[in-house]
Amino acid sequence: MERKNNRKGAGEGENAACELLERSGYRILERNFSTRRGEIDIIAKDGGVYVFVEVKSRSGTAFGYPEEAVTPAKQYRIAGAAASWLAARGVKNKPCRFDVVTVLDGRAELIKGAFDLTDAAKGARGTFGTRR
Amino acid sequence: MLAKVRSFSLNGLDGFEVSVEVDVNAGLPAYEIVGMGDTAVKESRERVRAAIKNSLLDYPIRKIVVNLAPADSRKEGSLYDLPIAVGILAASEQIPKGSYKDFVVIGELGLDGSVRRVNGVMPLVLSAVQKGFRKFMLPEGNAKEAAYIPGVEVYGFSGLDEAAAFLNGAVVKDPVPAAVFGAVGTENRYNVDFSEVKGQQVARRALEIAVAGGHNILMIGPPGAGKTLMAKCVPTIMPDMTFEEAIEVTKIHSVAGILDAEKGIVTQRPFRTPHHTVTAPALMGGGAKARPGEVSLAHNGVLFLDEMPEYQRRTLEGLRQPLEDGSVTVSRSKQTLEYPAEFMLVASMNPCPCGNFGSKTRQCRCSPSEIHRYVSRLSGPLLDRIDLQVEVDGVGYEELRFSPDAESSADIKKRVEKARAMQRSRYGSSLTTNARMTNAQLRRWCGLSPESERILEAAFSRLGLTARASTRVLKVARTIADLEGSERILPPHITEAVQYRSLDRKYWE
Repeated sequence: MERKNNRKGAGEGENAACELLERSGYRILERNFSTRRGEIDIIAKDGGVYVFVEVKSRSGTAFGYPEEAVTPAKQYRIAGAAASWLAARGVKNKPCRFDVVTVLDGRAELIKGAFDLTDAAKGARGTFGTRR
Repeated sequence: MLAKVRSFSLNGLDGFEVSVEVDVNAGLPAYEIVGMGDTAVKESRERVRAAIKNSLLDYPIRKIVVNLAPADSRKEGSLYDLPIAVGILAASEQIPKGSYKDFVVIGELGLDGSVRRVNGVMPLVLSAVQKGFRKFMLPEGNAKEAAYIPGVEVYGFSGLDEAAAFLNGAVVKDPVPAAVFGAVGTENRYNVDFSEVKGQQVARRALEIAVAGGHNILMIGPPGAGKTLMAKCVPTIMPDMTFEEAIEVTKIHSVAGILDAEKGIVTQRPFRTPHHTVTAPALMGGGAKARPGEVSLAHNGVLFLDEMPEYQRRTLEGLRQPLEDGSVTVSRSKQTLEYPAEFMLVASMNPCPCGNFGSKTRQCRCSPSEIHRYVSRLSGPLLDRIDLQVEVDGVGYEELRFSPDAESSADIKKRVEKARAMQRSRYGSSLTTNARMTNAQLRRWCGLSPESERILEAAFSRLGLTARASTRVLKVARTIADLEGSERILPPHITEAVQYRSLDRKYWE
């Protein structure tokens, strides 16, 4: 239930993010991909590189900057979903990247290569500091 | 793409080749480092990534795997940062492949891309040279120490961008000029001199003998008599270190991280004075990584133990092995290492807790049992290994204030050097002093006339000397003869040598 509400708020931010990505030359492949392991907001292609994009929207900084919300636990779920997506498509040995788009008060900003699997591994369950 | 960069690692003072293999591949971006690295090696990822980005180079968002081969030996420290960064740049085609293949690459990186100095470069470069490598890429701060090694071509870098430009051929760099040993001033660089020591004729003579033959010495006397000052003067009358000796010392100091980056080499004989609260591992070497201890830092120099009975007994007993063998074996769960420890032991102590026992000018307040307890903190076996014992009494006012300057260190040093020259020609090696004579050498070079034999025999029974103590008396006698330029050990030499043993009896009965 709660999840649905969150999605509603995120939709506008994601639209802004898609616009920014397309302006930057990305080709959007899929939106809101979701598996048991996690979910990805936008999957795109930047030249020959598959890009998994996480969108974080905020209407103010009272609860911190949007990029701070992409915690290792979140990264870990994105990385898991990315692996599933690649496997399902049979994509192997192709360059990939994790980007983050922050939307603050409607202004979108792109962080290329925001994290990698080694960062995300710190968010694996059962590791120190990741349980909430 | 795969890149292989050559680096080196240390095990004690011996280096071994480490191949830093970097594979940059497509796939989900990640960074893995394998090859038994410690925490500093694991953390290299953050330094390397930031350094590459801040050097305005491109950190590839790829799957990066770093292997430090051989994969089954432990690697420690931050010295692989630079070779890893070079490997990543090569594997991502930012520098030409193979441009680095003649080099041994060592260095730590700062987040800003600066190349920082690391410890242990002298022994690393030495072992690399022994294995046939001669071109090195090193931190600027380590270039000087490496430049002392003959036949090397050293390039020093202060930034990763500079190193990349060098490998790209965009920057032409000259190797660091070879450093020449002895070019730095040979004048007396010490801030003490024997000319400042008033009176104390007996102690001065004993110290001269000790240095001439590399013997250990113990000074016993009341507080304020000048024991510490005289001990500090000992290095000033020691012969200058040869290049080989300096390299040995520098290796140890480099590993311990106490080497002066400006000088790059240790030119003065070490003078180490560990405080009496020193622990056994700090003195002998140890810790989780089996670092060299004070006895090794004092290699080719002086280890001065001020107020010797104040040291923990267990700590002092640890000195027996290095005193006997000239090296120390440090065993830890992960490794067993041997460090050289050929030092001259100079020790001082008060004769009793109040310090005045045996003084001509002051009254002792201690009971006999207190005195006994105090001096017996030094065990017999340890005392046995100290060749000369000498009493140092306070100096009178007249002598202190109005006596002319005593003989200077430079003059004493000349005599010492003559005596050492005799030993060198006798043993055929500059590294053997009388104190280090083997039993075979002792038989060959310390023959006694019947009269001398009688003196030694009398001392043996009267002073209750052990076999070891009596051979040490012989060695001291040999040194006294050398100081006089005498080929044979004559009765006066033996008599004087025996005198330096007689305190055993006065205090330790």
